[in-house]
Amino acid sequence: MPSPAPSPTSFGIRTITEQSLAAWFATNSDMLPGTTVHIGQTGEIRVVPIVILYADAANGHPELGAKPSGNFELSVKIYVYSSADDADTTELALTAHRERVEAVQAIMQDVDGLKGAWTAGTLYQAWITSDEEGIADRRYGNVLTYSLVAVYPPA
Amino acid sequence: MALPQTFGIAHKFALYGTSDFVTLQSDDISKKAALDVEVTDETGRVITDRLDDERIEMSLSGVLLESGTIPAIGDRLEYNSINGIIKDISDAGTNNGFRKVTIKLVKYQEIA
Repeated sequence: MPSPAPSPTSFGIRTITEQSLAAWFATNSDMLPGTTVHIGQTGEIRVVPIVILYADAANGHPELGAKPSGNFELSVKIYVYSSADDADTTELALTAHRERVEAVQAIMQDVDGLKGAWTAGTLYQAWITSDEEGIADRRYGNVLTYSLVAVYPPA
Repeated sequence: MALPQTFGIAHKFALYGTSDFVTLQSDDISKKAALDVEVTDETGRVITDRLDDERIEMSLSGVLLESGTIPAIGDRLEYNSINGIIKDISDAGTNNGFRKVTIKLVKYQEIA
């Protein structure tokens, strides 16, 4: 029987980002009723409607040159998936999906709230860079991309 | 057959020092003589040149630290063992980037 994975004692900036986003989305869960929120890449069973918060990349901030000093520019992708069978008609399901996307954008637009929910270090700023919509089989999906700038806590 | 030779020549890299209110990004140090007197001969050719009153001008740019306080014009600031007088300060920011501060200093030959 494999031994359980040890609890992490420290987290990378991407993990801090995902956990902070999850905390902020949990605070605003009333804006996404019936929608589960997952973070990053996990082995959990995922059921639509779902929102996935994924900090897919962190790069040392270019404005600080060769010494980023724990400052990062992060790319965060927020996936919103809904099923066309979640409502009486596909039109209603699509409307509900777009309302979820709008709710996600509203949650992310409150940058001051997100800064307050940041779990370690400091979030400087967050802004949306793209919103792409698609459909596959009987699922609607959007990918919202955000840029965040954050720093680790001091030593 | 001899193996290819590998070699390197080290160069001076990056900055001379640091600063306590910014994370320094660049420096620029120039030296010149404030007095440059030339004597020409009858045909206009320089036959004597007198250089005096060395002036060192420095420009330092960096990202302002959260805890940093920007010094004032006229304050002294030492960098690379040169103690200069602050003559010009630029404090620039954008809505999605760090604040950049640029300080210009002058060191006069006869002012310690």
